[in-house]
Amino acid sequence: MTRPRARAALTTLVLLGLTGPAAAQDDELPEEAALRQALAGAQARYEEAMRLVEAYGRGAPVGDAAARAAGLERLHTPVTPGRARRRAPPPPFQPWAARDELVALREAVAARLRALAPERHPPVDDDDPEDDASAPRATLRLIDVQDLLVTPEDHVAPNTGLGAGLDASGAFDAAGERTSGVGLEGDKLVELALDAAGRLASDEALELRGGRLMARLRPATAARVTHLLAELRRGRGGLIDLEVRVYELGAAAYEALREEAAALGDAAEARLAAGGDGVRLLASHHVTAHDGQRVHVWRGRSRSYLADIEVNQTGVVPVLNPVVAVINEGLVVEARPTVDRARGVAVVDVSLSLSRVADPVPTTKVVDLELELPRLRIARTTATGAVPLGRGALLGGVLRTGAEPEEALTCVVYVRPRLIAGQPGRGR
Amino acid sequence: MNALLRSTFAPLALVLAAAAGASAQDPAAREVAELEAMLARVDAALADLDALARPRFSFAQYDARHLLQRPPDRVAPSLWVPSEAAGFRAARGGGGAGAFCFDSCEADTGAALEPDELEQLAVRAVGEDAWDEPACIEVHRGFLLVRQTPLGHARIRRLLDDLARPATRAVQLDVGFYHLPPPLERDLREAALAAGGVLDPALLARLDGAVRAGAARLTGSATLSALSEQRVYLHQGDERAYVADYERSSGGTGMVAETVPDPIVEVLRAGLALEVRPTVVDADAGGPRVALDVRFARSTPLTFVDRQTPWGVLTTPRVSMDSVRTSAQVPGGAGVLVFAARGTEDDGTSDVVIVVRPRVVGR
Repeated sequence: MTRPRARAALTTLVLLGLTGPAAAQDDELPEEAALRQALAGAQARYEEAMRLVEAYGRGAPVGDAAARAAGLERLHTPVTPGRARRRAPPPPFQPWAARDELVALREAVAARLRALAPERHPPVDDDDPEDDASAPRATLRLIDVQDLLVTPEDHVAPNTGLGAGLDASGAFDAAGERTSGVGLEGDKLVELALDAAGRLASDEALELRGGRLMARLRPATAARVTHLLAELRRGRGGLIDLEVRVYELGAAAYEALREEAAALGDAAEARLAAGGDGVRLLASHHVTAHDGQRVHVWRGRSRSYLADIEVNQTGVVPVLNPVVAVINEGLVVEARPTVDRARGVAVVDVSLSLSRVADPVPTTKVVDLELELPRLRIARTTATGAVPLGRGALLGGVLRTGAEPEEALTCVVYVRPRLIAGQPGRGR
Repeated sequence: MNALLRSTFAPLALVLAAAAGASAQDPAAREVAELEAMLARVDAALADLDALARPRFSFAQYDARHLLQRPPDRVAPSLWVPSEAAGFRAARGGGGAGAFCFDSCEADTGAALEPDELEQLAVRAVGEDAWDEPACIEVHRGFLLVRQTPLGHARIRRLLDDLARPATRAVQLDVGFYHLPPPLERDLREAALAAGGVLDPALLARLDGAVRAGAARLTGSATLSALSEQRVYLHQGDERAYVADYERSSGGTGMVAETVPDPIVEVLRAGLALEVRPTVVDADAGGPRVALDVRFARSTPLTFVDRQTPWGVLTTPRVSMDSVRTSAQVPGGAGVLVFAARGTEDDGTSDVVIVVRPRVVGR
């Protein structure tokens, strides 16, 4: 007896989404609690409505003397505990069945009212609202959505180090590592917009041309599309202002900052800003990046040199050709900030290189050519950190201890990502 | 609350008003009043049931790039003397696999999800039977595009929170290179042995105190941060180009023959390099631990000997090399003794003790 009912109750919960793996967890979501509460409320409201129906069916509306007498008689009837215990449990509430029942009931009530009081309950015009001449007509608006479609190019740093001039592959540039950006494909945006718009009326149309949505829509439809675009922009709009600084930091000075190096507080920022006592600012830059885009900063010198000799043997006699390469020296920082808006952090992937060519560059003679064999002092670091937006962090580098040679290069990279609010596209 | 009172008592008031007036009316008017009251009550119940039986679906996008695209591993340059055995011309191109680097064939252990996997996880989190039209889900360029009920969205948010927490967890690594007096070095090694390789905060404080007091010397120090399971590196030192060898090419006719030398220019990298892959391991108690995979190399050029050949001068470098690869697991806030070695004058090496202190940030 109880099994079918239990099964019916379970079916209701399944259809409402209140069972399954997520519901098995102890920590019920607020949305799950709200849904259970709504189910109980709907059941109460349904039962209230059905009580009126029962009263109507008995022909004894509230206030009627006969009903009052029947009620008084029932009130004075002794209560039998055994009867209450034997009473069968109420059937499980089925919102879909209840709704169907009430819809049918409403139609019947409305029909009877139209028959009893046609002046107060005239027939309802069920014409398609689309064909209603009084409905607002569709108007054309051009909505700029280029900001949602843009996929920025990566700005890869120049190669550094001696090997860089001899080979195309750079120190930072791992093969296949490319920014995917946050831009939508045009077709996907149109699909989403049509989905949000719902069924278009005969005078409505929506298409993408040249980074703009050409939307001929009625106001209600246009509002739905505008809402969708706002939702898309909220999760992916805006640029990132990335402040990149390079410090020469003494190990003792870093010791005081170590505990909060991943998210520097005001006192630590003030300590860095003050400088001195083991803190020296080598460079400071602001660079603007799209979310997920690789950008770089390079301040230094570039020089070409006779790096190698290659043999050309396409003719009968081999010929020697000089190979001229380029050395980039100075400070090169390449960074890719990726914003996690839900958690308010930017994951900043950074590569830093600080290099200096030792002068003079030694040479050696091969046949009739003077080969240059440069020597480069270099410090380079790669690091990734999850930095709270608006806060600074020391991501990595080599600290100065005083034990290294005077000419050794030491540097630590500091980053501070900030989200700059994007300019929403405007319809016109 | 007001809405609840209004929805509960308004139909009741209507019923009572209709009933009060009905006694003075004819039966038809009384029935109309009764039916109107019933209609109001039915409409109120239908409004509630519509919300349940026909839940509202809405669109939302979720940024899942941190789950789908992990920052790449960064491989340190080789500090080995370039040779046939170590990968000839391996130094070219800045990166290059060599004796220092992780094996090139080593599988990438990045924990990024495939888009299909993420989609399946989201479908299961909401409930597999909750995806009838108009519900839909798709991964597009790192974003999860979802049309679902408020409850479905809440479950997806919870799933993504659970997945993203470890994906954006970073590890800060502070590395110290020390020259220690033998008794302190011995104490450190014995303490580390007794504690499974771990240097507890008290021992680290003793080490720092010895440095401050001048009893020990900090010869190098570095800091690095990486996401869990990501490989990062630092390199400090020199790069020096030299002619390592010559290849000869010849050609000509029966009358003329020409032989030319093709110099092979190599780059010797020296100095200090450290490559680390930290992995956060959630222990049951005592907070997260960090599993470290560490490679350290220190190369010091000793001599560059120029040798005369018929085609020109070639150079043969000689370097001293310390190289170690090790693994350890330590609780955050503690340290690990990665390497300890005594140098000798014969081979030009020097004393070094390397201590790494990992700290989990962004929990």
